[in-house]
Amino acid sequence: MKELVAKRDIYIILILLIIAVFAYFIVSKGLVKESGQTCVISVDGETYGVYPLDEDLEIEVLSDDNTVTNTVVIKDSYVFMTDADCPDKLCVKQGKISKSGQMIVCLPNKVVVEIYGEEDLEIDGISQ
Amino acid sequence: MAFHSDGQKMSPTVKTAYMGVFLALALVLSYVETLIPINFGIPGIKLGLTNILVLIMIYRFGCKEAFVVSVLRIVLVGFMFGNAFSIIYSLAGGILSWAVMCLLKKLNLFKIIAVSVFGGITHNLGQIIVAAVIVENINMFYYFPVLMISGILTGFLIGIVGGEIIIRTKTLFDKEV
Repeated sequence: MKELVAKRDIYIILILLIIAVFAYFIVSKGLVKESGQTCVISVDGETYGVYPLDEDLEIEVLSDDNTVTNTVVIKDSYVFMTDADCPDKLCVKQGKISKSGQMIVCLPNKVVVEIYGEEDLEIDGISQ
Repeated sequence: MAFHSDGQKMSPTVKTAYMGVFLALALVLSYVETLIPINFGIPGIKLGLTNILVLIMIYRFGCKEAFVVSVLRIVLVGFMFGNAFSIIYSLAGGILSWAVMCLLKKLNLFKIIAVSVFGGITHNLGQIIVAAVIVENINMFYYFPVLMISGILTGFLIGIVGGEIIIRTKTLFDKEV
């Protein structure tokens, strides 16, 4: 093992790990707050639609040629993706989100589902 | 520049043959990795088995050779198991981590396990940068702490395995093909 790792290596790995864990807590505590109010779907960086969380709804995200790429469902204030036409379906596997700051991302289709709280909407004016 | 363990320069033919073998191995490992059904609910968390080969290439053959094998592997795997998007993400991560690992090896500050850990982190960083650019959403970086932790852990494991292989195969590349 001596050829593979020295004391200095252990220190730098531990420092990196501490930074990562610290950053994780900042992100999860600081940015993910109380239950969100609205769900914003954007495609390719542009806002596709803004939906309130307190209404159950099924949203079909259409691409430019009018095919359904992703199906987003809002139910009991939870948002989740039920279907996607991408090969890996990682967005479907990301599960349910409900708190402001959480998001579901479908990289192949460039679809991002984000949840915002009341304050966020006033601050960055997403709702326009 | 690749050398045998006795310091003799490896002939281009021998080197090319070994690079082909490593590319084939990398393709097999990529396939094996698609069979591992681990899902953390976050895109981008993977074991990164092929990084073992990139590490071995960097330490035993050189940075140029590692780059060629790594890029060819990403493009070929993209055509076989992935799509255009997976190639872009993999290239971003693969090239960034290759550059960082080569730089750290040249600086000689750390040994192989720490180099591999940095490679794991920067691999995920490269992918997240491309993801943020493609979906035009800077909030993608919220994922980074989780991906950084996973990069450290997998980089550590890959570093141990890769390092042990490098030690144990010191004279392997002496045999003429």
